[in-house]
Amino acid sequence: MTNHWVDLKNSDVHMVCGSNPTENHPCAWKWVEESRTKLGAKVIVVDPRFTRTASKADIFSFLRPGTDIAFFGGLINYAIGKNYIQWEYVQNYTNAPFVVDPSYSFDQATGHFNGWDAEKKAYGAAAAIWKWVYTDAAQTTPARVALVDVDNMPAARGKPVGPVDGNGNFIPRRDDPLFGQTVFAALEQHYSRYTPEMVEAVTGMPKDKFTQIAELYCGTTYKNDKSGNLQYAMGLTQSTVGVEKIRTFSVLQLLLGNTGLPGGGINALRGESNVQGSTDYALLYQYLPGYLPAPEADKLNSRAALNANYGADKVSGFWLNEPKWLSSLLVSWYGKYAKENLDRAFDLIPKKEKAGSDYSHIPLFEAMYAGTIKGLITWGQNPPVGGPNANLESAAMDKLEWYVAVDLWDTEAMNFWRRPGVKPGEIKTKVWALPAASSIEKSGSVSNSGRLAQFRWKAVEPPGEAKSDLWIVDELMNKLKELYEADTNAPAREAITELFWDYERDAEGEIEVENIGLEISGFTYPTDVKDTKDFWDKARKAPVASFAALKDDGSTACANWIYGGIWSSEADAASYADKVGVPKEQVSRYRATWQSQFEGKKIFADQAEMGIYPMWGYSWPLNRKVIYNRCSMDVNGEPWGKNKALVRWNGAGWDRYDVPDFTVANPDTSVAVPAVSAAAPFIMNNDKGAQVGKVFTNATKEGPFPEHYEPRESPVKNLMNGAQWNPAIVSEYQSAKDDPAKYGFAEVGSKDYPYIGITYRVTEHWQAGAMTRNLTWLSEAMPEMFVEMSESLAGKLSIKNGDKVEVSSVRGKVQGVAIVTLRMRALTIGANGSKQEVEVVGLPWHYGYIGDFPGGPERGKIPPRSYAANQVTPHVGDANTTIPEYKGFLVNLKKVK
Amino acid sequence: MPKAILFDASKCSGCRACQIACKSWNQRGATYTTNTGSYENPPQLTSECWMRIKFNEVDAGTADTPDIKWRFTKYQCMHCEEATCVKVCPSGATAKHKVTSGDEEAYVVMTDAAKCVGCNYCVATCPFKACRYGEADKSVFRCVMCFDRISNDAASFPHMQQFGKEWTEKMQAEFPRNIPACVQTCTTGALSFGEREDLIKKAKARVDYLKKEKKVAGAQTYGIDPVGGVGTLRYLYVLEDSPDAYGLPTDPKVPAGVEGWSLLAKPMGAFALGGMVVAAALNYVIHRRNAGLESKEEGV
Repeated sequence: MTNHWVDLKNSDVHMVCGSNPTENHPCAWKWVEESRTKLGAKVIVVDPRFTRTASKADIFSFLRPGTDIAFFGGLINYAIGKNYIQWEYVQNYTNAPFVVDPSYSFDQATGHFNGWDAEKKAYGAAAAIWKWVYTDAAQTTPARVALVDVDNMPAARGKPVGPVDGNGNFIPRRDDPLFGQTVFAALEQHYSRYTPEMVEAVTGMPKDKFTQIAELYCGTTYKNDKSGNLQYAMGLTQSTVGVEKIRTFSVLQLLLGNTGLPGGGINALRGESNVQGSTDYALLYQYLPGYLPAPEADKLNSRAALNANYGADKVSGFWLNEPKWLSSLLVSWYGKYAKENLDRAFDLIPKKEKAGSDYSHIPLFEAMYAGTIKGLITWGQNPPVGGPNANLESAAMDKLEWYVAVDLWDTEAMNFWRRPGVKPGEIKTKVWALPAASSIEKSGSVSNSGRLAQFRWKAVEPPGEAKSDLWIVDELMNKLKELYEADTNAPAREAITELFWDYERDAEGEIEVENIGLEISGFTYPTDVKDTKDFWDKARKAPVASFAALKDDGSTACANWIYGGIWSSEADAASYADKVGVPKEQVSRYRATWQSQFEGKKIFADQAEMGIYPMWGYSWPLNRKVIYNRCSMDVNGEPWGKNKALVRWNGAGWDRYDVPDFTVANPDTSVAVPAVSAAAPFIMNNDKGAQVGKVFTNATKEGPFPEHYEPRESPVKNLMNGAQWNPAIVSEYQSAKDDPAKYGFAEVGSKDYPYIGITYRVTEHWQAGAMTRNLTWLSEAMPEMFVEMSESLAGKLSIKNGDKVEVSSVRGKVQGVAIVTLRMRALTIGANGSKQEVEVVGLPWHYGYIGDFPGGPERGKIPPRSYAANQVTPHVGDANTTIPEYKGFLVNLKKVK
Repeated sequence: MPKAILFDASKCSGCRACQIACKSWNQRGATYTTNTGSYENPPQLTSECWMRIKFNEVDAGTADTPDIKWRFTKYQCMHCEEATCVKVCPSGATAKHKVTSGDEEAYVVMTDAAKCVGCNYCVATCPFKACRYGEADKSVFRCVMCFDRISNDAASFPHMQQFGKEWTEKMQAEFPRNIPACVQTCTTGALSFGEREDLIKKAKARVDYLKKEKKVAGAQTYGIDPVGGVGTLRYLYVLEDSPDAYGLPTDPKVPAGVEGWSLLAKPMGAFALGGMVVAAALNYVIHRRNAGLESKEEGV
């Protein structure tokens, strides 16, 4: 989230597209309801299904799965056409006024942008292809054009002045010959094809409905004092164009001036309590902790090379400090060994094979299927239910030599070797199941969607032999150390033997969690240390105030720079203790622990009722709640609206309710006036001299502007351009090449698989179901696998509500109970003269074959078939993230006896 | 001062956290259910399920411009002013229990399992079909508005005591704890608990808001004015359409003869309970007859 949960109450219009908050984030909805009573906010819900969220919408529309770019692109076209553009914002805070490099082009016939290599069937490196023009050889100052008349015309900056339209909005300078060379003009041209008629033809959203939505969203929120936000989740991301869908809306938000404002922004509603934390701490393979790029063995295989890489294309912005963060990370990992020689420590950390190496879920299971990966440890993961193309992924697990599953419950993953339809005796994999402690049975922090870290104390002891994740990792590491110490010939031996693993222990011998908190926050590395306690005593006395204090010489340790400062200063801790009314000795300085036992507005005053609560937990970076908040003010530092104030220039300094996300002081520590930050409002943007919002990007794999491409499996040809699917994806993995009949794809417009399938979650169940299919109250409420379909489709196939049906794809089949409902509809798509109806079939993906409620009428035993929806989903993913395409694939449907 | 629960259907998102919280607090078990082509489950109230959310789908639009509505209703005992179950109960097991001592109006309708003879007269005559017999406990069960929570001082809650009086009072003002489990768990603010008078004001204001600001022509309250023959309710509703559309009876009928029956049955019941032998015999006969009765009630 650019914003945070409570901030939803500050929004004037909510665009809920690709998410289902009342079902999957029920507690979020109270803030949406509050915005309705407080600001008269409106809610738009767009979804292939009429969900429980849709039942609370002011406007709802159906949309064909996977066509969000066509819809969002239509909104961009509509906003430009109606001049619903926040010009002061666009002119000053985005790269829309930049001059596009003349090499830029888009060919509608092929669907490719410039830079497409027809032979390699790929684009080159994005930053080298999609560029804007600089005025100087050193590339420090991009060429800028005034899109509207502004009060500082030579610099093309400042407050808009000049002619206005009927709405009082400024009229762009289209007569200026330079106007046509700008990003804005290229954008306008690119989206001119996304007319309401095309939106209807591609998405199935009726033209009138589209116009109604566009008028409400764009016509309301482009106004200075109004803000609108996007609430999205897996409905956008689980797609071959997932990143581009979100980027399309990001561009719209920039045009409307909605990013950086309270109630605005791009809000990823995270699907798990700590999924934000898991990415912050580098669960994603392409990052080290804190989103530092993972090193690449063929290019960035030395610390100098990696640092040079930061320096090479990051000459401005705070990413320049990456070498300091990397250095501190190495010290936190390798301690004294790194402090003495950072390069040596860098050499020890694992690296990607090469720049393009993809170690995400799909390629890993492909590698297991190919026999390259021979062992697997999973933590709370259930691939035979949750993984795409579950039949393939189960077959891939068959090839493992060993498999360790850490989980709360007996899962399908632990039992893949006796799944329905296989002979257990033929599967040789050795399987261990380690019982884990649940979130209430262990202590530690979680980070929610709003980047807010909060601590949870252990409430009860875990049952039986179950252990916390930290305990399991600790045991594993201690054993590894022992083995590596003993084997002097082990490869990269120091990677294990030199790893810092010297923590204080509690009475039960477990690592003190607060040591980890301090390590994450950062400290000056102690010298002359006597023992473990002495080390941590000294570290506690020398915490860094924030990531700004980190050094690249090995003198500081910090395990995750974005959380730098989560260990508070003594003064802040004392202030907290004072507010809570307890002696300060009782207050931990680990800010993640500052929270719920003292909940309540009256105790922790909200900041101007903006929902900030700065003394509750810690939001990275720097406890900032709304990022890009420079954009919540005009160029002079005046908030856009009374309800939208986070920071304000008072003429001599900055009044703040939130932590400023911009330069407030010059290097000489004098106050930085508003003009300084108005020129660089997106300080996290690492482009040279261009720290502004990217309407035109050089950072995604598909091109500078998002373009609609069909899902990998689609019932129709792409109407927008000549490329059927996203040209930048891996369209076929090895499994599909080797065995297309089993693991491949249906062709475009397939007669055998004529319907569109989508998967989703319901309130009553959690992810792959292990945690909820064993809870009787929840399973009683949602007992078994079901399949949702429209009345028209059911009528055609003679299916009655409650019948048993089978959904099949090229890759497999799954059975469930038919829910024939008004909430699913056939969508009319296609250009005039060639209209056609497409039907959508909905599948919850929680069910499987293990547990009290496996998924069918059988209870508590392994049923003769699996009920996992992912038996029909494909192995294909987004070009940038490889998130699987669960939203939009082709299926058939029939009634079964 | 009468207490009540207000259910605002315009805010309910059908998440069913209340349904689960009810089971959790009141220690009710689950049953094996099947999907019958709906999200709604369990299919009916039972002695193990004292409240449930009903899902009703309607299309208020035309074929070309569908206007789908998904109506969610919280359904349970309404704690009627003129409670039929109280009238027909021969043993005095089902009665209005005072929430606050000395306040006749602050009541909930409850059945004392120790006194219940299992005659099922209340089950048969309840206009809302909201009370159900449980064979395991040999008693009738219904929503008790979490009597054990609301009749208690919050400060007596064990987990509150560690923080002391001052903190408890502060918390109570902001986040009251001695309210029904369903209300406390409601994620969207659709449920509230308090003085019936206050909730009536709140409900009426909400209906005004829905009519004026949201243009919901069908916005109305339910339960404030007498409903059918049962008087006013202690469950109040804000609806966006007629009670019918939500599966609530517009005119809940009290079966003829209930008034006369109550005059007859009560003394008889008292007499029966007076003699051990007679009571045991009566119990035996009644419970024999009740076997299998649980599943036969129509789904509400």
